[in-house]
Amino acid sequence: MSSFKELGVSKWLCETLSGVKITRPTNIQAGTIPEILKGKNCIGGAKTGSGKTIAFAAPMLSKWAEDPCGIYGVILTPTRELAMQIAEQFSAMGSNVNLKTALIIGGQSMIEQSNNLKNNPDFVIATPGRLAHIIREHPDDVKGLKRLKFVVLDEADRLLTSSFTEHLGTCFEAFPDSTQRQTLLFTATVTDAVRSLKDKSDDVFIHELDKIDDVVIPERLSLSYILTPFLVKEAILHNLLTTDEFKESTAMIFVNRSETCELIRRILKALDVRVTALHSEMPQSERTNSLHRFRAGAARVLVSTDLGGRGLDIPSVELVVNYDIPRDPDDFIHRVGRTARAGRKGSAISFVTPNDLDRILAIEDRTGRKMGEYEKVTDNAVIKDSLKATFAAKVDARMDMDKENFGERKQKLREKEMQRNGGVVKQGKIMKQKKPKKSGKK
Amino acid sequence: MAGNSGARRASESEDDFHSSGDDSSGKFTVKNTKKPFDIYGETGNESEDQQEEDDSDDDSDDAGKSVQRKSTKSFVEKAQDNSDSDNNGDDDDDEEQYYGFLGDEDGEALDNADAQMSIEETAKVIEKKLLEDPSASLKKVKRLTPKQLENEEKRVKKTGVVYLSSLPPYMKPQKLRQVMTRFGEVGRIFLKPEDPKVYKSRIKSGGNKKKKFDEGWVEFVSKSDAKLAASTLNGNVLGGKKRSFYHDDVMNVKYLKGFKWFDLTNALNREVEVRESKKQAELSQANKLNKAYVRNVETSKTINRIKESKKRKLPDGAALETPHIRREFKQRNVATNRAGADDSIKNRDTNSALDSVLNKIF
Repeated sequence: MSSFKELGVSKWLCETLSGVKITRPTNIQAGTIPEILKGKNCIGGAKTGSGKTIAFAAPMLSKWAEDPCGIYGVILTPTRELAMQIAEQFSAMGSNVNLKTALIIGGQSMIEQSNNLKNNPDFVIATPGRLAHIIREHPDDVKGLKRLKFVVLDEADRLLTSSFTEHLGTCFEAFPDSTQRQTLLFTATVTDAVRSLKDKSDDVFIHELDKIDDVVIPERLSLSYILTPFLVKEAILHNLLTTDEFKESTAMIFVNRSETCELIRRILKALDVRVTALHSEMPQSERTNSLHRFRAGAARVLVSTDLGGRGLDIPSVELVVNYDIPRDPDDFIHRVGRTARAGRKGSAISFVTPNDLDRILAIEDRTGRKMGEYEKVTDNAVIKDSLKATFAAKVDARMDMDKENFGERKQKLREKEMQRNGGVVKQGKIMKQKKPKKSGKK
Repeated sequence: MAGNSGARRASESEDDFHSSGDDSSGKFTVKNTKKPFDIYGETGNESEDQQEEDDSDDDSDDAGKSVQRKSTKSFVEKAQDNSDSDNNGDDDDDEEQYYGFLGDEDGEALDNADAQMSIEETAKVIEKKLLEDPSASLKKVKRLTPKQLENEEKRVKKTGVVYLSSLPPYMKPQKLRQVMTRFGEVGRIFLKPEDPKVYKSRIKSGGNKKKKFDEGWVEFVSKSDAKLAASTLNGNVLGGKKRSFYHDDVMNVKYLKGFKWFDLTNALNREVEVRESKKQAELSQANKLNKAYVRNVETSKTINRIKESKKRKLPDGAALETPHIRREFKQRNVATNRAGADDSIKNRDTNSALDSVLNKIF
């Protein structure tokens, strides 16, 4: 198929899309759009950056334009940033037709959001936690949800894990029965949950679900690693970001913990790198702000936890650094998917400490590619240019963080939750969560 | 008394003083729990204050005197330090944070001109010494001559401090100085600005943007002036011209018995010191690690060179002996949710709640 029109997308939407230079449907779009228009449920397997958003937005908008009524669709995503990104794309596509969307995410005023819901927006883009909260607290405001036509679960593999189940359950209570609505799932990996869904139902259109497990890393993306002892990681990072090759390039650095994230941000900032951060300990306003700064190029380095690992579409990213190696090999694929988007080149460099060998092997196993060693960062250069400065900056940063009681906010939230849950069952979990924090400090 | 918790706290501690003063042994039991000034944590030269109070009541033994001597000396050194750094415009960040509010908005750096006048003499001496010997660092200040020391001690002993548990809204240090000067020569003033968060929320809810202060301390050059100021102003409206902005504001002034200005700064200074020393310790630790890394890099180079030369000596085709394993690192675990993955690395959290959600989806 060569155009959206042939797929059955409304004329006005085709015009809007061609206005932003989107004329040829990608593979997943060509596959799923006709089936969704037919009214089928759908599970779509798609790599990162393959145009998933339009694949569900285009048919939904086409159908909506024929018969707009009440809240037409709900889109659920795992992170707030992703929700914002989708909301932006929706309002771009609906700019000609007076489309009303409501963004329901945490970290912002809930009263305003629930009022928005009451006014029956056409589409609701939400994170499960906040939507569930509103459903619990203001059941009157969300009556419109009972008549919706579409439910979309973006990044379904992440949404269908234990961390979201409770909220998702509440959300689905407020939605109409599964026969009254169309449900679309998009995922980049086939997890057990997704597989069981696939097996359970017969009348579901499945797009390329089996293939996505295979080739995952684009050829244009070069993978390499740097062997490093645990203690000089910061120095090597600084050296890497100041080598001739990456002196000017836009980079994303992925770490495993919010605390490391903040520490790295402070160190790099002290060393005059234009840097910003994204992690869950930041207030939402700062998170948004920081991402905007990075998008606009005001900061060239974004230090992020896995919060920024999925779905974020920032085309200019040339380098991804895996400062910590993720536990799940699929997270690695998501992370490196931030670069080499839409036909561009990119490189991904992983820092390998002696403890990470198993993880690296698992990743190489998963991606089917062997990494080569990155050789432009030499020990001599590190010692000469970065070592001393980074150590001093690290001491400063750590003391500042101690002084500002980093992590206090989350601790309080946790305690609050414990009180709410009676504190007996959850206690074990909380103790567990605390433990790694100490070991991480070292 | 002013119906304010701060003032009440001060009066409590005063009672405490009296009880310890009546102690017949003549030794001073310093109670750490109640201090004349517990806002900044522990205050330093407590024994000295107490000593001073008791001088008038009963005579003290030698041990007490020596304590007094010692602590006073340390204070004078501190004072020198302070005056010195002021003169050189070399303020620590933390110090600036605390003293910065002495001045008004026009950027007048320090509002303690009078106090500086009195220690100007000592400052001059130090400056001269510094000029003669540039190598002398700022931290190592020469001791004063005994006479200067005595003068300084006398001067300090005469001073008195009053505490203002609340201030008329938006009153600036300059205005406060003007009010207080009615009773005698005023030394230093410190007003604690309101919490930035409170300030922000105040502006957000439509308040004005003027600076507001929570509480404050004023130093008088003479004790009797301080007492006079407290007894006159406390609980009374400020008065003055009817049109004056602060005409109807009630003042809360309390004379702090046996309290000197350095009791205020001591706690702060110590905080800074502790932080500084902690930082030094961490830095030296970091340096050690640094050096270890550099050394290890050197070693690895040597080992590599040895290997290379061994390789060259070996005949072609012969493989190098496999290196023996010296140490094994504990590997971090791998876990994934992917259905197609090996069972060994799969994340196993069977969750009944998840199943019920899955049932609802299609």
